[in-house]
Amino acid sequence: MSNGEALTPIEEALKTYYAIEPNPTFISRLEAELLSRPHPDSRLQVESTPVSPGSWPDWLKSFYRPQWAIATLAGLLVLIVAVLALRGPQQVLAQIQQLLGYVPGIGFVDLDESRLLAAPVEVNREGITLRVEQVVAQPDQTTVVIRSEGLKPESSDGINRAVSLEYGAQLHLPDGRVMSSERQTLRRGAGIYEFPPLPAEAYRLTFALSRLPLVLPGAAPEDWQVPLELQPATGELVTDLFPRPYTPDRASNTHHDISLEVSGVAHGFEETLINLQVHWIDPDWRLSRIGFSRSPDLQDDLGHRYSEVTPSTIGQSVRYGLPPPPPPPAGSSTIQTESNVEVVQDMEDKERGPAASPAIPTGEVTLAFAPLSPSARHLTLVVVDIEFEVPVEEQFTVDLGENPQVGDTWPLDIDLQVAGFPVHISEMRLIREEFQVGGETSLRQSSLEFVIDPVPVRNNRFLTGLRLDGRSAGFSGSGSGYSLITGQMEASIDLDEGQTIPTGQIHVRVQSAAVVFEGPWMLSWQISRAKETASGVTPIILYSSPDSQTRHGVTLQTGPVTLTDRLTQLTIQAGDLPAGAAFAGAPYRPPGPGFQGWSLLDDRGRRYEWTNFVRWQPPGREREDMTNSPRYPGTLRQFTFEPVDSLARRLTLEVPAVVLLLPADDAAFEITVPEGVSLNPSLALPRRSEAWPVDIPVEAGTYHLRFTQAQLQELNGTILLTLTSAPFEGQQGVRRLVGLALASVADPAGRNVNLKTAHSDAGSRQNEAEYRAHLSFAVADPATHRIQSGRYRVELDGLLILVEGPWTLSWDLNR
Amino acid sequence: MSDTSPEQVGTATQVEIDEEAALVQAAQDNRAAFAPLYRRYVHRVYRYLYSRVGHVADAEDLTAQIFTEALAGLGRYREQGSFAAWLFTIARRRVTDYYRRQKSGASLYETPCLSAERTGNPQAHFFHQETLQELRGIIAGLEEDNQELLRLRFAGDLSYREIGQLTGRSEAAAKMAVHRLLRRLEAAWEVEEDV
Repeated sequence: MSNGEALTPIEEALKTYYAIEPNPTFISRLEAELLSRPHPDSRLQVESTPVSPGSWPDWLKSFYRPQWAIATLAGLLVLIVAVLALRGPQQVLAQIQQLLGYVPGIGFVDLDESRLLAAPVEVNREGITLRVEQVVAQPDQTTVVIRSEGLKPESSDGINRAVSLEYGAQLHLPDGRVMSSERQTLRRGAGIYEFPPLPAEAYRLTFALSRLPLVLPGAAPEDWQVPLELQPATGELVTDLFPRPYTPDRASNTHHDISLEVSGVAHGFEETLINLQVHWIDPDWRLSRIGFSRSPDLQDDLGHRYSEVTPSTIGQSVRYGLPPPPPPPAGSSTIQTESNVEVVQDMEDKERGPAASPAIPTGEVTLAFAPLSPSARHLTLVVVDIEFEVPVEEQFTVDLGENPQVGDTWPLDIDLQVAGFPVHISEMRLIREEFQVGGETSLRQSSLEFVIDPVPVRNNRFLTGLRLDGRSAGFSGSGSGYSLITGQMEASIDLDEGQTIPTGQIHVRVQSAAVVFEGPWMLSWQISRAKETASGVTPIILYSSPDSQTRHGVTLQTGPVTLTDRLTQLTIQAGDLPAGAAFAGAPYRPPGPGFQGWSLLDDRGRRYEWTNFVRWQPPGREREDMTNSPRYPGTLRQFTFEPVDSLARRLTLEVPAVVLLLPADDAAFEITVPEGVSLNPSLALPRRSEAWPVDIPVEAGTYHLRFTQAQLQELNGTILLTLTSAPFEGQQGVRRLVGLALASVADPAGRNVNLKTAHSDAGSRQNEAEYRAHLSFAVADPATHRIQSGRYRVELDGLLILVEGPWTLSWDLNR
Repeated sequence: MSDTSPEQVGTATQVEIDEEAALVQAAQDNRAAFAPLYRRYVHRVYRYLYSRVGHVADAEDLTAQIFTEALAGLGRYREQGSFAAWLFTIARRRVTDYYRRQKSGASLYETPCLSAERTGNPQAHFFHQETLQELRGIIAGLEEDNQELLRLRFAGDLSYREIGQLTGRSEAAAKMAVHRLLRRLEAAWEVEEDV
């Protein structure tokens, strides 16, 4: 830190606290990307100034990262094109596929000119096993993956921040050279170590580890040495070791002249990676996001539905790692689009055969899903919508007057044509924003915010954002926001703190628009390995004799259990409940300290964990409505765990808590939003009004609360009225109030308010010791999105009460 | 970090300025010479951005945006103090835009999940997770200005002079502010340990 001065413990701690290092691959790729950009003057581009993604709104962010994969994929495409001319497509593709391996924890790896470990190597000492799982020696780096077993849980307890420990590793070469690891990713007892590239002739080496990862000195044997022998990565070896990526046959779909195609799939133990190519027609469009309103969904033929997961290569797109593409052949032209995709068009092809297809813009996205069921044979990827940035040439002028002040609003009547949509800007307001960070005010900036009337959906497309440019008037940034719930859109141009608010007329350009194209795109294919394997395990639904338990007046009963080779899905329903109460669900998280959470055990003592990223429903059918079954009346809830051992005969689940709905005695009340209440543009986000006092009692059973304060706030694209109660006794023994359930809210015009944005909670919030309840619902006119003052009538279903258990339920699995 | 004891500020800092000025000049003359500047600052900028947004992918995107903008604007940079201060000004501005787009009322600050798995830093592992959580709680309770001082100093690895330029203080005032903050953190940290 200070040259020559030792760091104090707090400085040491802070330095470590902030010591996040970027992925070196990202660093090197960004450097290459930056230095490969041509000087702006020599580039074919629409704008006169270099494109600066720094000012792009958030919906372009997802586009930026795939550029690196696109650049290298372009290299792959060029390589394929070049080789195809010599060898023919099938042979080339097969050969390329064999060279590409998917190594868990590392990702897609080009194994050309690489060396591998043919099988894991382990060393046992004093009951502890160190296993070198894999070594991948590539031309540019060497990666070693290790894991250990037999460590005692306390071997990492109390690692002291003041102790300087070394967890690096070395590779010892036969000629005496020693290579030290440059980077490691460590877990307790396991890790991935990255070294410089090995010498070309090095096949035998020794992996040396002074101490197992994140293990205290003395807690395990130290100074490990593992002899390794590598082999050249041939296609056969790669196939044997790693999940082989494959390209499905005709897994593609087209809507709006936008084609999606699955170009690569890899099935690993920790994830399923899918490479998706997107083709569209207009080269001026930029791909922003796959799945705007909902994430893509992967389904198999057994009824499993897989959610997206964070790839093990965290943040990385698929890496093919091929050498730079060869220069385009003479006589060809290179078209460089704004997306940085290079498409080489060989002019000579036009003379030889059918006319070459014109270059079309292509984007590539890698999606990662939870690992598949081994028995799945068929997959369907569903993409509900795709967002593009579309260039626009529109502009308008507004007049801020001579002395604009923060808080000023101007009515506008500006009509624009944006990407085929009629856009009407109805108001402009000068706001000052303070961004809350960790509950404290943070950055301050002034913004000129434009309110845009709801834009109708057209031809299954909808507008979600505008990118404005106010630089000619001195505005340095821009932003855009869209609410999926209300459809409201805003756009702004921003001033940094300290910048003077301009006066008079200002000129605003509309540079581009975000347009979402609705699908869905359905892409289906047969899993490659399914051709070679026999059919697997079919899901089983067991209706065993129900088990039940009663605690604190609440009875829970077991429902059916679904067993697949990928999950165990348990159904729970409520039996006897307190008078008038209804079962409202069971929280996933433990209700408080001291609770262990959910616990599922089988009769052999094995414990099973939640599985969050896969669920099941009968394929081709809606979820069976068990509430109508005479055998299992009552509200149901399903919980998904890991697949159970095939030898298990009984499952026991511990449910930590349930939530009940208790009817309220005073089930309805009225609340008035006074005239003239407005959101204060100077307050920190979310923008709020001044609070005003109210007096609204609510009672249900032994719970008595009184709302004493009302306030408006802007949230989720609408304006909410939030009621806050005075402190009250929310915790009563094993029960506590956790919220209120709204039945309906009628606005001053008698219309039912949309409750999608309504919210309620109760408890002690951060930094507050008192127990309060909060209830919020929308008070904005759905047509104008402005505050509707007047009287609202609120009807409650009741109070939500959490009851602490636990309940212990069992399922008999005898099949 | 690049600062020295107060007695050596003048000499060492001037050397750093000269070296940096040479790198900037070289990059302005030849874009291919941007690489040394990039390598000099990319890790610091990334750490700072990650400490602000708490998400690897967002930090990577922001890092890419900032260096793209810096490269594009290099011709307009005029030596007015510190390239680092200029670069971090861009970074702070882009983070503002990021927050602006995240406008939702939810907390915009997510303290990085620090473990050896994420950092790849051999030192990170020996700070037990519980200790890091303690520190996180203490830092979260600070005023935003003070949190920013910590980020600039310990994530961005900036000198007091550079911090002063960014925050509108003199170098001495920036140093004093950081030292007072450290004393305050030490006191809070000791209390946490005693509990």
